Amino acid sequence: MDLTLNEEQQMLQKMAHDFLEDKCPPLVVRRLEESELGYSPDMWREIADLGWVGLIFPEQYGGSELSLVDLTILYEEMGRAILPSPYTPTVLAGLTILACGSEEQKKEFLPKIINGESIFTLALLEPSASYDAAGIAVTAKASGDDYIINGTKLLVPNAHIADWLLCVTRTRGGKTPEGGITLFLVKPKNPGITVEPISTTALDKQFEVTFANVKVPKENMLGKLNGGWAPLARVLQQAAVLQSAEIVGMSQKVLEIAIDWAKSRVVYEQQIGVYQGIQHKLVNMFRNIEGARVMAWTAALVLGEGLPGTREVAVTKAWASQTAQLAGYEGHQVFAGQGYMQEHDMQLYSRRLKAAELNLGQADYHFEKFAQAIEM
Amino acid sequence: MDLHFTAEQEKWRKEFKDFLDEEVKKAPPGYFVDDIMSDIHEQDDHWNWTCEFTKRVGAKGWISMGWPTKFAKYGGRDASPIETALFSEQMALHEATLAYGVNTLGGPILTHGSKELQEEFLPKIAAGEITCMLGLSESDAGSDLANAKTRAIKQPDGDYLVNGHKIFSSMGHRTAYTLLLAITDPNARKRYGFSRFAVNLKSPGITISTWWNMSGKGHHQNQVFFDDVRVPARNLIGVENQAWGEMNRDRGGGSSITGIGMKVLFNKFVKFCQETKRNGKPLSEDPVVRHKLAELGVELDVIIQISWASVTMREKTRGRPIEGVGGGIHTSASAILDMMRKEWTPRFAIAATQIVGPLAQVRGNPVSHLQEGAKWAPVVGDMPGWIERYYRGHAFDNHRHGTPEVLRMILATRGLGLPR
Ligand SMILES: Cc1cc2nc3c(=O)[nH]c(=O)nc-3n(C[C@H](O)[C@H](O)[C@H](O)COP(=O)(O)OP(=O)(O)OC[C@H]3O[C@@H](n4cnc5c(N)ncnc54)[C@H](O)[C@@H]3O)c2cc1C
Repeated sequence: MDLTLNEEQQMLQKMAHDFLEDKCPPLVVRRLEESELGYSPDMWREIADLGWVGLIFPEQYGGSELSLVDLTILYEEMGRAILPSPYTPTVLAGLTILACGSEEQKKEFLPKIINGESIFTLALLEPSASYDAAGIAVTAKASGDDYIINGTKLLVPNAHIADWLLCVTRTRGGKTPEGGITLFLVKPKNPGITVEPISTTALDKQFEVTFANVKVPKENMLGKLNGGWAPLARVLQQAAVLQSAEIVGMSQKVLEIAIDWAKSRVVYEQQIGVYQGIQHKLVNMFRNIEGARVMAWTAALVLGEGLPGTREVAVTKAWASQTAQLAGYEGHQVFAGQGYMQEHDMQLYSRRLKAAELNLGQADYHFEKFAQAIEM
Repeated sequence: MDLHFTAEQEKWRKEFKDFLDEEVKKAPPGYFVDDIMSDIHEQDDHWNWTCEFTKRVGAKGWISMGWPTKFAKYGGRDASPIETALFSEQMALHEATLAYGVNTLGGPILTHGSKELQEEFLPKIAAGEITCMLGLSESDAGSDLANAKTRAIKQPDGDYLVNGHKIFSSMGHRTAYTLLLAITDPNARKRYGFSRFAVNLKSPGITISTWWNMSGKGHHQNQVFFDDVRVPARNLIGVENQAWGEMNRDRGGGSSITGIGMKVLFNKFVKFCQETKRNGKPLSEDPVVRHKLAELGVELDVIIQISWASVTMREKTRGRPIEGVGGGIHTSASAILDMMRKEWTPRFAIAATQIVGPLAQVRGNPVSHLQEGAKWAPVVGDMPGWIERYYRGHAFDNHRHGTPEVLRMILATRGLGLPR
């Protein structure tokens, strides 16, 4: 049993920290938030060159073959810097390809993902707003050598810049909702696809993607017909853990700037950090962050060993989601009026913390997953 | 990082488990029903068994295994934090308890005690033969312990004469000793005139009177009066007047895992909810019940995992100071865990009563005291009235060794560096 960082992990952490501190200060985040692309292609290239995109992919495709735990370390730093980038959906699509793609598909797509050439995104969520297989209603019907996709996907990140959509479809009704899911790789420029922006709390680049009789060749199927859910579910577990690690980083940064403020802001002739109303908020954030970090490591280790990990993932994302809400809300209480204003960094974090809390299931959703995992 | 135990660690774990599997079979009837109610200190046969069991643990060398090798002749072998943590884990899983305060004097004496005191006490502590209450709190000295007024004044012959009044004093009626905090220099500034003593509770001049708490008929707390009690000079622990600083540097307790015992109870209650029907459906299928329980269960997993992280951090940094805030688990972990435990337990107790509803107020019949109408008390595990008893006993008893508010203050100022 060892839940501490080894030397290489500490180096990875420092390297990521220093790079992002230099390249991605809040000023850059603000500029990118207002830009049309929403990310910096130059920084993306640098990140790919540093090997971050390929961090956990096998060496044979150009990756560094590090572990999921190593990736959580990187995510904590990306969260701390609230780095705007197409990293997450691209890597998740890559992991899905790695999990169930044909050797041909892996050879075609993974090297380009790893070197930063191709941007991918996940077309997963639908108006059902459910992360379960039962929520998938977008259909794909066989027609000769093609499949015809119809329906609407929501909150698809980066659809405006993606080279490929990984689209989750229903190919049959069947007995269980999981048994009728098939994955397809689709070009967003395909005729019949419309991409409309959705403005969100975090002002991250999210889209509605509508499929109207979109023809996709059979070769673009990823994994087996009706066999898409199992590999995807595994990737979504990894995604929930990484999202949790990102929350740790964001919350940690909020805690640090709030502590600095508590030491410097003087109200009623005292530093506000003297007041227990303020101290207790900060200690609660601290408590939650410590727990979320250890849980993210734990769940990443469990998944890394190929174990089911349903309990660990549920605990991790439930706790991290609560942490996100706590840090976002209590952070604002410490900064009070100032934090509400656009020029303050607090609101950059709290808006993104809300997105991260809800993404891949808020605490309530994972409480039920936990209840199922312990066979309650 | 690694979640697995090494073959050697698994071997230790199995050794603890095998031993305890056999031991718990020998406990007197009803022991574990009472244990959960923490009434084992009340019935003579339960208390006696606890003491005998503790000596058998001592004979295994497990009480002193975490002491530095400097104390090898008393069994100190600087056992790894993981080994001592595994022992605590197995104890909790078996719902077993050592006799009260078996190691309370251990840390202070081996860190600060004179050679003479070490030779007198350490072999007996290691053997599991010493029991000891904490003589700290007074009526005006709880969280602010530095307000304590009890005095130990040095006499011409070198001995000390103690006068004062300690309150709460858990298990003082059972234990042989008290670790006493008293003023030795009445003229010193606050905090600077304290000393600690190992005091035999049979000393002339000591009166112990029962102080009932709301948990029921179980006898736990006492008031201890000291009237001209003579304490030999050799029983002073550490340097005279230096106790305040020394207290924060006591070492020698092993590592433990917070949350294991809580999980044992939590699992029993979940089982109860699965087996108990309301309106024709198991309680556990009610979404509100599921939600409440899952929220508690999630936090419990987090607590246990923080515990392991802190133990492994200690393992890795053995002998070196642990530094830094926020970059992983560090010295603040024990205060975080103490705070989380003290807040989780009442929340669980409250949730359990709310899930169970009106019958949660019916007192059950643990072995040591029968209650009227107990047949209507819901049975959790094999304990009628457990919910009622747990609520009364644990929803409000989260203050000893520091209230959650005081722990937050410590974390805020020492952990996060906020101003005082
Ligand atoms: C069941 C039980 C067993 C015990 N056993 C022992 C024992 O064996 N030996 C022993 O010596 N003592 C024992 N104690 C005493 C225990 O340590 C004290 O109760 C505890 O330290 C709190 O002190 P107090 O009760 O005097 O509360 P107070 O110190 O009077 O506190 C009252 C309230 O004020 C709050 N408060 C105090 N200071 C601050 C602050 N700075 N900031 C914010 N809030 C603050 C507290 O959190 C609490 O809510 C026991 C207590 C109990 C309940």
